[in-house]
Amino acid sequence: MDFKEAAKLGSCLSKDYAEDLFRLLTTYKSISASEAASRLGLHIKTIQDCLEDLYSLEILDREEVYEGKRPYFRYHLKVKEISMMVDLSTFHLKEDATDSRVKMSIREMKNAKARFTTSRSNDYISNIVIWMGEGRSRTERKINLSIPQGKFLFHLPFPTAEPLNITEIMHKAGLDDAHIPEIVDIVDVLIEFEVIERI
Amino acid sequence: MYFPRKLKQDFRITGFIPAISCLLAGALFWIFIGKKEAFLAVSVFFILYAGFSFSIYIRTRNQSYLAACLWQLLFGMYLLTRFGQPLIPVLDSKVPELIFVLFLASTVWLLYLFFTKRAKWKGREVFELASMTIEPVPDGFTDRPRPAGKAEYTRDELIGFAGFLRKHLIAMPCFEENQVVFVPVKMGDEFRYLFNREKFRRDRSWIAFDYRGNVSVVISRIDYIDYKEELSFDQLCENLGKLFIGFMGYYRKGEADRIVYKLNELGLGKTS
Repeated sequence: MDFKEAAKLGSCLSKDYAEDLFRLLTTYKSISASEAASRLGLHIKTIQDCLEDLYSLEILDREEVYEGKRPYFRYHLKVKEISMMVDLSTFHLKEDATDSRVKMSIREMKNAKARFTTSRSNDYISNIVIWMGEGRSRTERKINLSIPQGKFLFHLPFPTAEPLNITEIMHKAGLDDAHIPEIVDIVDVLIEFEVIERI
Repeated sequence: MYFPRKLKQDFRITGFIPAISCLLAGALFWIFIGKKEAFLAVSVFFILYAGFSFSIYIRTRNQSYLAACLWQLLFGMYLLTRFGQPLIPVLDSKVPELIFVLFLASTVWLLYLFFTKRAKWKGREVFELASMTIEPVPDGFTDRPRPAGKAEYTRDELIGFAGFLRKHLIAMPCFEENQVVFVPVKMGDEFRYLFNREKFRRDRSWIAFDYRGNVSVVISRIDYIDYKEELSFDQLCENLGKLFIGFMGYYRKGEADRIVYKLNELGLGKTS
């Protein structure tokens, strides 16, 4: 199950009427959205959406029926149990020291619209406030940094300094390769917000 | 030796403001109340100001403030007990003469300290020295601290170094949990520092030495725009850090006087 499907299933299960709805589904051979909604005292659209989500997740099956009026769907359970397994390793950016992104040279952008706040110990950056937009529509976005990210940014070359690649900066900051994914992540974000420039 | 100046000229007269205010107040007292009251007001002002100077001496351990305190106290007492027209009764007629002699001696001491630049806050010298070899490069400013390298020193040496820089008014130390932060104070900014040290520390440039030997530098926007041109910011931070690491080196070798010599060698004015 991918993360989006897991999120959809989680959303269905977290509804306060979910338990009653599944009780109906296990009790009835098949049930329509209007029957379930009237039984639970809810709006038909609410139940319809939930049943459709469960159908798209292949937990329910449906059949279209005609009873002298416009067609509608009747739903019945396709499975006897639900299990959810999400592989979190798919989120891990497989960056290593040979990755081209780690080799890119970077430095702080000239006149970057950002304010860096240092930690109390003054040896790493604790957060960055980035200003977005102009004039009255200007907004601030604050990004709190992990300590490795803060140490990395503390050693980021200044706007007029010679750019360095990520590996070199990590070496200066005393960070090991285990932190590469989170470093690459924050560098990508700051390139996007024009705080860091790629040379 | 001639050094091209990188900082804008300073025409501030902050150091003279208390004296000018006092004389102005004395003149107003003389015009609207009377001569005796004017002398009394000026003498009270100087005696109170002596207390303020002494508090600065306690904070900086700079002997020019002790000399200033003594001079102000003796001047105030001289006005109160001057020959022939004492404002307060004097039991022994030799007391005013003694006060006058001590006043003249303290004047000589104070002038000696002034002309040998021992009374000068040396922040301008620090920034001039840091910028000496730097070329203009625009758009380099950032408020981020810059790691300036590592230096070797013990905790006791760092504390001693802080005391030396404070005593010679080169940079004021702030002792923090894991580091000592040095804030160079320019002449004319001393009252801002003395009256609101925390705000001054936040808004101005500093050089931090932590107890593990790491040195980092921040140059504030206020200090950066005090330069005539936009200098290469990265180099400026690096030089400022190296300058203080060099100062520490002199201090550890027992050659701390070289620090003061290097700063005085720039030949900046005694009141700027």
